[in-house]
Amino acid sequence: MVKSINKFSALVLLLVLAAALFFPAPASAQTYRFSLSTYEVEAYLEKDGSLTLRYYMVFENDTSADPIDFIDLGLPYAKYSLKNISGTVNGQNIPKIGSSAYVHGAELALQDLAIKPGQSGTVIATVTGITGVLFPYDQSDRQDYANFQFSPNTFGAEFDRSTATKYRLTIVLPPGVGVNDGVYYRPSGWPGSDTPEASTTQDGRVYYSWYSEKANVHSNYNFGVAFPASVVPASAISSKDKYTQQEQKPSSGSSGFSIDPGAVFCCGGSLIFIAFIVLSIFKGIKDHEKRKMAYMPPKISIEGQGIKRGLTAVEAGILMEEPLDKILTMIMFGLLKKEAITITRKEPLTIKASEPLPEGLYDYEKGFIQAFLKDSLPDRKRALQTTIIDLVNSVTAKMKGFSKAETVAYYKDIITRAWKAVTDAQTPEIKSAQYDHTLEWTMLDKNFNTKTEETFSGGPVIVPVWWPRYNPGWQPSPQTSGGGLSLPASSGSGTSSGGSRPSLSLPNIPGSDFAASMIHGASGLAAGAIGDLTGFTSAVTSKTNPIPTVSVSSGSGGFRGGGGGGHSCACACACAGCACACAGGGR
Amino acid sequence: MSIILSHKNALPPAKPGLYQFDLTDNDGKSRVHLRLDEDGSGLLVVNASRVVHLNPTAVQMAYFHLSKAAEKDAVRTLGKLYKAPKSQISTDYARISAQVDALVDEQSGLCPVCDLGLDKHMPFSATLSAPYRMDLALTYRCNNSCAHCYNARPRNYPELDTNAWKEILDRVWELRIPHVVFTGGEPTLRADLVELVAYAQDLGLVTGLNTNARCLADSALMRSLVEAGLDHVQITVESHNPAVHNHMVRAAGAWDETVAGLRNAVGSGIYLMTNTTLLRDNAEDLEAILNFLAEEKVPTVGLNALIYSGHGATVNTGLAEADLPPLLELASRLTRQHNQRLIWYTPTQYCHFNPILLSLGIKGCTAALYNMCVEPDGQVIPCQSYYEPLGHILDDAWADIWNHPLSLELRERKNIPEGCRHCDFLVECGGGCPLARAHQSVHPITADIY
Repeated sequence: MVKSINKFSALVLLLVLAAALFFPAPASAQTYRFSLSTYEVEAYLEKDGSLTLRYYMVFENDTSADPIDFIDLGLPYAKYSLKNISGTVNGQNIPKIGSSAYVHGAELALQDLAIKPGQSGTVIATVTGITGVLFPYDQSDRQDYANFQFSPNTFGAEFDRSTATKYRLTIVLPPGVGVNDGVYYRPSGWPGSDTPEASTTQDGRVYYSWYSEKANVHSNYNFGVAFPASVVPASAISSKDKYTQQEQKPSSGSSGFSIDPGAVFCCGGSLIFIAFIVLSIFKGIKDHEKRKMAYMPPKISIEGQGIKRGLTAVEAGILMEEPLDKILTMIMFGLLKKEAITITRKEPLTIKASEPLPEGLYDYEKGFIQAFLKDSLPDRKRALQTTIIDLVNSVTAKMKGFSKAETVAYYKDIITRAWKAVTDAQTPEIKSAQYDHTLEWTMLDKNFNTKTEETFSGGPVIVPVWWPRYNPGWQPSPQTSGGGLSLPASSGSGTSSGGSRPSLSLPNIPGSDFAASMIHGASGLAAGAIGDLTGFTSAVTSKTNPIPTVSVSSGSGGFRGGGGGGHSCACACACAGCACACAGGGR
Repeated sequence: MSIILSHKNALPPAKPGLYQFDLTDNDGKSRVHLRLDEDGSGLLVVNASRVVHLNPTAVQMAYFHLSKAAEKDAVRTLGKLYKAPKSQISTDYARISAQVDALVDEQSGLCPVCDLGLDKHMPFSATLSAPYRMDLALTYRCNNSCAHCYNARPRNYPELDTNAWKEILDRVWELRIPHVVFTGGEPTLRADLVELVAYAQDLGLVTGLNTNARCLADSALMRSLVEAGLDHVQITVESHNPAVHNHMVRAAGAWDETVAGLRNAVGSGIYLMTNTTLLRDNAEDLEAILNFLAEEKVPTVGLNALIYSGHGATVNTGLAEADLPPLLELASRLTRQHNQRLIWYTPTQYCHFNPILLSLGIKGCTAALYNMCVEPDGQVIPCQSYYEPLGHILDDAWADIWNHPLSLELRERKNIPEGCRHCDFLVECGGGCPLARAHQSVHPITADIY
């Protein structure tokens, strides 16, 4: 027993070494590219009701392609045997014919007879004895007829480069069909004449033959004929459910081998035979590997728009899932800049609305004002929740059909450029003016607090026009000097609520005081008015669906906008239903 | 030994063709089509309305997933087809399967453009082998006589018989077009309409009907159409006011029958929308019309502008495109209020009316691209309103029809106005409706107007 086990181990080692020595690592996927100058298909319906197929194919292999070493021949979904398939390439027998792993049909393995790049090869394949191809004729104009429908084998469009294939399809009816008894179907998809050449063979069999030089071998063409059923055995005509595509396995195995483990312990001749079989399997696997197509990662794409421009900073904040306390703070500062409100007390936050209110306020700004004019905290909270819910739904609707990822990236770029405008400013005056001008966008930055501190710690800051509205009771110090600068209204990307301002002299304050005040305001002044932020947020998301996160001082987390709405396709996608005919008809 | 037996459980990969999958879940039924073209790429069409494009690998994965193949069998087959590690194929297969599930679930509320992380390409940029939808004008006979009718043919135009239309339906399926809409004239005047709907349903097509619904006042006909498998119906309602409607369609008593048909359609539960042509006759009443449709429980409201074909070319009751925005804003607001869906159909010149700004979607001419039409005699025309035949659907090769010079001109937008060529919205707008161009001038947009 020990000797047998050792012998077995030696055999395994021998096989492994042989495989490594004789069979290299898998090659990269093959590149097949060819054209067919001639493609002739003959389908003979025999007197026993079986089908004989003959393919005559002249391949022209591309000079830069790999050798054509395998040809997959699709066969009808009917019964056939691999033993009944034969073929030649350039007059020599095809070395191996087996079952194809890629099509329902046969694989012609050319091996050493492979058609080399730049060369042509004539391949003839014959398949006899295909049964189960006839069905009852289902038209009402003739009685007791049988029909045969057939689509010739095709090759993938990615391989076929044919531009002018001489393409002929001939169907020969069984013996005994009279010249006036046969019927042909109008072919579908066929670029040539629907009317075939109709005649008889030398042995008197009716045939129909279609020819075109506009056809190609990667398109599906369907042909059909019918004839009196009496010329074939009744058993040759299958039942009506021919359109159920049932896979028919070949009646004999392809590369099936069986190994009797007991043979391992026999004499050397059997060992060699087994080794040959196992190595053949290895080679088959390697060949199979070579034939695989290069893998393109799967991709699903849709027609649609890219960036949704024109959102306000507040709307962009919703899209970017900023915490709701920041959103409320942004709205507040926006209203201060528009001179729509004055803060009368910071803690708890109390505001006074200007009379009259300036024109052009957004709905969410009006909602904010209305909410803060309510005396009771619960009423104020509910009103703010409604405002935010409406805002989220509005942004969702605006974003339909646009790429959220691209849009977020677009606005993040605006934030970056806004800060750059501030930090690049050469003088305190310009720095202050830029900061004011871009405040809504810079406030979206998760590092707003840090950057504000860094930017303004080094010197005085000329306070913005709205500073007294923000700081109740603030009066400029007598020592502060004048100064000020106006900036034009923003143009191009993004929307600023700032607008243009008249030039006027404004006092300045130490930069650290300014930064501290802004940070305090941005870090939850408005949020202080709504109490428990988590509860507030939950009440919003129960209506808008997504689950936001609560803000922490670092500004992490976010609120996922989107969702909600019961409508589909007010989308900017050019889908079938929406973008189509002006007479309607889409779904 | 698994190596020897490895072929036994292999699934055959999908071959070029049109595959239909009927899915049922708690929200109802969906019909999904997977079109696989010869080059291996394909389309996934959900309920004839949502269309996404798949590369060859995604097509095969979608096919296996929709066929409910066991994941391990699918991954095994894909591993035989492609040179890639099984782990990568498995990961990608799971991702594509999840995306397909999300796409076919139209009730989820997720926007496929913005919520599913799909790749995007510009509108109207796909290379197709056939349209998504074929309109079948069964007849040009009509029991109305709309003053603005776009039909440019005589009413007694030659019509094919039932068998020929069945052949046409077969041909539509062979061309891998998943959706047909029976139209006209008035298609309910055809005695074989129910039979044709049933035939189309059996083939696996999604079927729709454009009608004035007068014949649908007969509830038996409505019921028969639904039982035959009709998927959706669009009913033209020009006004809430019978006198205005009857004046526009030039048929006494039409409104009563149309509304009776509408009510039968609402009661049947079929996917229903109305269509109203905005003209000077009825534009001022839009609010009342929309309120009326809401009261009638119409779930989806369609609006379109005058089509400059047939009588439409000379009726002179059309609105200028620049006058449309306030009407569509009103419609958007009211339909939202009534929890209805609004569809705007007409491709306009965006310099006059940009539907994207009103969240109405990208609207451009899709003639000979996403939709075409078969006339009563079998000739194919670029769309229901463009009366230039491209070839006979049964007698002529599809390639010749699809690649007809006029098809290419429309699809590739070869004859857009010169002023449009430098417009920032050329891709989306495409110069508006080719039939309308003679009636207005363009003002190209070269600044961001969002």
